[in-house]
Amino acid sequence: MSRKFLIVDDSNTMRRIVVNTLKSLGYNEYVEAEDGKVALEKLNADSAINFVITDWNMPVMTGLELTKAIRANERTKELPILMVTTRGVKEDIVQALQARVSNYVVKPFTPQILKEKIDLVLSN
Amino acid sequence: MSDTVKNLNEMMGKLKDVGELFKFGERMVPVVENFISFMSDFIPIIEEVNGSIEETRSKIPEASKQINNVTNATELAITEVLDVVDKINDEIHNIDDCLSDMIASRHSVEELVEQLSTEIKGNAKAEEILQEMLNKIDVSLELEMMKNRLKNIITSTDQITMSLQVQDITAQQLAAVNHLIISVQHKLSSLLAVFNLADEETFAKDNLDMPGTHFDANASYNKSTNDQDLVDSVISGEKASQDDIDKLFS
Repeated sequence: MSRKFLIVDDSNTMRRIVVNTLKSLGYNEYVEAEDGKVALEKLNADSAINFVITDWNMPVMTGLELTKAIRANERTKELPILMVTTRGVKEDIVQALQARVSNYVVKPFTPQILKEKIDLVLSN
Repeated sequence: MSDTVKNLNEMMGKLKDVGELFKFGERMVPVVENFISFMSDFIPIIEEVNGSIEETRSKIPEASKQINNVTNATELAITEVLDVVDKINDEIHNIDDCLSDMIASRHSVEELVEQLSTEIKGNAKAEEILQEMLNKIDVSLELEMMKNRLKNIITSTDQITMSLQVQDITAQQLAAVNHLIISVQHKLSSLLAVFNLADEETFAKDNLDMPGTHFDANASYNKSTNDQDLVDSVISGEKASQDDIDKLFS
């Protein structure tokens, strides 16, 4: 099954780093969004997207709100979502898990960690 | 005793009270004088503070702008570095492909040499020359070594890319500072309105818009795996109770 990623982050640098990492892992199909609202629009417009990598802290709509919106939609509720964020405290992690993110990566991350988590999410 | 005498006594009592009041007033005069003197000294200080607050408040927009400039300039520079890293990676992959072609070509040569050595079997001189030629053109070890070196370079460029995540982290820290100083500007405007007895809106009109809180004020560039280990522990205990999760962090 081919993978098309939606990379959501308000930082150009982070989107670029995630894209580069995905390319080095052999994933070449992706779309980008700078906040949760744009991400939802792209998700609704492109049914080929089957994996979401999102930051937490973003303007307009946060990654947590995006996760809840995706889970609340019948078509997208089972979509794998990987949260990639600087927030690494207990309350945040528990909150993200309660919103049903598929996995969670703390920045700064290594390509190995990202690969490991993507593989883990896909194997589940 | 007649009413007149009684009234006179009462009046005398009141006059005594008035006398006490005057004595108290006399004692209070130096205190009041000191207070007035203190206020005379204090008012210029208040005015100075007022001026300082106003000056500080007026400098905040420039400071905020400079913080945003730093963020933008850093992001631009990081993008340029990433462009260069991409070019280096492309070149490395091209060289790697060339090396792979050379190794494949070397295998073809070996097959031809094997055929040739069968053809010249019995010709000792020819066999000797062929062997010498093989020794001279054998670069298979060097080719493998070069491929390994390229892998090391790719590992290093990956490391550079990962380290550049610091830009996102510092941008969040700067956004937190920006948010803080704009909050200070708003507070100072309120304070000035009190000092100057003027409408708060007069001071607020040149206030910067309060930015959103879409940043992690506690973001830190920490390369240890402690945070990720913590996350993994929580995720693996996802089905456990909140108490179990709490224990992981205690």
